[in-house]
Amino acid sequence: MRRAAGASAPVLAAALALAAAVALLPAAPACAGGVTVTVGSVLATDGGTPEFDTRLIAMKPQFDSLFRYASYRLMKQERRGLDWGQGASFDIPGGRYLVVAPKEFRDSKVGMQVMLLEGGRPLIDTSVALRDHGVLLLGGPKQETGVLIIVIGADTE
Amino acid sequence: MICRDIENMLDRFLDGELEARSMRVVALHVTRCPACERLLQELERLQELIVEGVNEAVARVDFTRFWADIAGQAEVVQRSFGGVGERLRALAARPAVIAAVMAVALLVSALEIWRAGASLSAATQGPPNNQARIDSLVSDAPSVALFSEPVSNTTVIWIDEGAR
Repeated sequence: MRRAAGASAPVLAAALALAAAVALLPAAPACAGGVTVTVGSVLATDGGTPEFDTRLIAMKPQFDSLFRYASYRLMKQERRGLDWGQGASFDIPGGRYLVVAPKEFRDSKVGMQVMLLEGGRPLIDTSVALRDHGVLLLGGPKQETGVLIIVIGADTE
Repeated sequence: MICRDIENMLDRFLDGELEARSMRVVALHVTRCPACERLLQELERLQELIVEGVNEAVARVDFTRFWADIAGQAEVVQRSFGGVGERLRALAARPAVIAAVMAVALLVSALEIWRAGASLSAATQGPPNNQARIDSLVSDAPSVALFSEPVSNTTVIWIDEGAR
């Protein structure tokens, strides 16, 4: 009996520590719910007064490093929650559209099929594994006096 | 840019040492110029041969003696801690000691988990990691270039539609 009473303090401490450890455990990434795909169409132009759309400010370092256009303007942005294996079509300026179909989540990367079409012509058809919460840029199609840069983001829920 | 300029940049292009715009210029040029594309392929092959040569040389090194020596040293260290081990085993047989050790271990784990969480939060303040892997790419455009930004690893698929 004395032995049990003597051991109760450390056992209680162990139980409390276990409870604390469980409470502090980071939540496991829940990707079974699908993926949120964000598609933004940016018009990049030269000439005129340089300006940078404030809605794109988070991507300014990458844009400055990758491209040499004077101005960047977000023309359109769309966000959709998709199930794995479910495709979705996003309208892109210039009569184009982008088809995104998330396939799988492996090694912290979202595997997806991305297809950019223009009048039935596949400008790009690619299979890509993009880091979760990362973005991929697809650029070059001519638009008005500049070019389009399509920002594709994927976030698991 | 003429082919001679591109040729001078091919080494750095292969090593990923060019700044983004030059990478793009070289990549676009190579897709259009068969001579430069051939030269790039030769350089790639040369690089592969060097890597293969280094790997073969490493494979030929005999590590057998090296590991035997380390194992001998490890045995000596183990023997010198023999007495301490006996006393630790005797202590560990007591339930109160087991519980206390568990409590300390769990507290340390909890602290480490909390610290890891804190450092993860701090890491998200830095540049994003947009690393991507392109498994396949098909295009109807006259030329396509693939390049990435070194800080955030942002990948760009660039379509050159040519004159329309």
